[in-house]
Amino acid sequence: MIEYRIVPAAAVLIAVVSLGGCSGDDGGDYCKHHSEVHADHIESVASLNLMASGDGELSGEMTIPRAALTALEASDIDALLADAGNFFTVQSDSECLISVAASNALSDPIAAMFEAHCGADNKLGRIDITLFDRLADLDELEASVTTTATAKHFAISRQCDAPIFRLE
Amino acid sequence: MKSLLRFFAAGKDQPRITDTALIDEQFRYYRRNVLVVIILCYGLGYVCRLALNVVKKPLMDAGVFTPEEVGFIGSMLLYGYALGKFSNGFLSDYANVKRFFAAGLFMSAMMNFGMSFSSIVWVSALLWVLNGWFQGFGAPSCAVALANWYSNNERGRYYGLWSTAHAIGEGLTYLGIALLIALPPKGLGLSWQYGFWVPATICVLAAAIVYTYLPDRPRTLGLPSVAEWRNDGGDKARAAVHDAASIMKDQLKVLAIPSIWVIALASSSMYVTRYAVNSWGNVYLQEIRGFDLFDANFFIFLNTAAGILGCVAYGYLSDKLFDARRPPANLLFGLMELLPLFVIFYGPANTTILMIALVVYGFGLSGILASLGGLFALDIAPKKVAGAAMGFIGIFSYFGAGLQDYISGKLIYDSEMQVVFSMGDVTQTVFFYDYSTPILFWIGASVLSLVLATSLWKVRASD
Repeated sequence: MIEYRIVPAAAVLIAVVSLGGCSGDDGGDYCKHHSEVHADHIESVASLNLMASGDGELSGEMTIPRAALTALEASDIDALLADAGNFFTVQSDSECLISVAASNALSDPIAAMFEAHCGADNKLGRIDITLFDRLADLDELEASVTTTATAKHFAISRQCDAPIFRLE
Repeated sequence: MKSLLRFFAAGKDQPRITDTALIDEQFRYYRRNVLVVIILCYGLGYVCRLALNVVKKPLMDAGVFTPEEVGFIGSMLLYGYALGKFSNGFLSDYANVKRFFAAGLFMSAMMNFGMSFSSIVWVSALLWVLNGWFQGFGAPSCAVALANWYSNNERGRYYGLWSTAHAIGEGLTYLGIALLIALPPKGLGLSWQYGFWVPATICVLAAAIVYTYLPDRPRTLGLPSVAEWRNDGGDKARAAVHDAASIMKDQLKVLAIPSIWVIALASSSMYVTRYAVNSWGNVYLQEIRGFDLFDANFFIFLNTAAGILGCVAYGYLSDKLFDARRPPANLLFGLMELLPLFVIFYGPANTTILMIALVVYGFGLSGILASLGGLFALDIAPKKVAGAAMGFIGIFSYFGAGLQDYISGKLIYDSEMQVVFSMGDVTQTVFFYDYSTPILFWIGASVLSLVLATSLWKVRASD
């Protein structure tokens, strides 16, 4: 009588695949499970809202909690907010005119509205946000970026290697 | 080289077993093995073919490859598969299919392992074109196994059963592999490399199953041919096919039939949309519609699952409702494929509507593909060169699909905007894409396909 050996083989297959699927790579729990702690520390997180209109116009708002500014004097904060180039730059086909539209250096968090005029046919290739370079005490930033095609909401943390997309 | 060819060659006929009870028992055992193995393992093999589709977005997000590069790499598989379909069909006729199929699965697994370690475009492209070629070992091997173990008058229904295997693979990939990569709580949140390692492991084990359980031809096991065993005269038909070596000359005449060129173009255009949605649809749903990786892949799975019903329904409806006339059925299924695309890409942001649209799209697509890549072509081509017509259309279709992958990737990459957060030497980047132009390309391909297919409204079946 011929024995059917296909069932045990399939069982081994499923077991090995399951083991493969369940093993390893559980490091970086803070980043992977960030949604569990994000709401608790939202007060200490900077925020950034960027909107690219598609016709070469870019506008943005940002807030930075004072806790991230302890190393700065009041005059340094004024200087930071005076020039939009201190916290963002735009790389595009031709040069953009960037400026701070409004700011409040006295509130907590401090706030600024800024904009870039790049021209209608000017494709925005890259926007560099340099806040983390300027503010050594800034640990995390929550960002919302909207383009004509899509919108993304995420956080950038110094403790993580990659943007965190799951915040809730 | 000779020993390699000897290893893959079909075994020699063994002395015939005379015990009829033992013959019956062995046939029942091996036929069941053949059916289980080709459905299970062809399905499992699909996981190694589709792995890149699931990890495309993680690869792009991690900055390993740009969309253009991912598209280029993806297109290589389709070119390799088109080549494999052509070459391996001939090879499998002379091969011990269990070794041939197992080797294809094993080598495909190795290509997937290789992909997990490569961040160099040309290396990944090379691995993926080879993967496409090795993937092309599967279908002809299964077809030969079916022909060896199931006779003419029963092969149709078993072929139909085997045809569902791709749903196993697509389900396992778009749900199973997505489950590994998707972030908790829906998935395990493993790195993108697991999207290649797990498929590779599955394919190695599938290769082991094939090697262990798929039998060579009945005569190599001392059994009569299946036609003799079932007494249905199928051997004569097969012999007739094999004797007709001079048919090559007639096969070339396929190229002189204008309708075949129109069908090839229509099929190729429809493959553009098919592979655009299968390759880029999940990325689009994540990038633009904001779904997570698991949900996006689940939606794509829905369209492929609905496709099984679409195939069956097309054949039934075109026979019963339109008296075996394919063009009206082509128009009906073509519209069922085309109209949901507008809902998917321009419709309301409602998950239920999106799911329904994807199901209808998958249903319509599979129906019209069953026609353009099979039934309609078989109607038009002279019967003795039907295989050549199918092969010609198949190569044309996969060439279109491959070209699509690169063009889509390039169009998506051209729209790229990066938001880069720098922290000294370290940067974190979020990528933004605009799919408006690629979507026009995908829908335009479907419109073109439908126009071409409908232009053959008055074409009658030959013979």
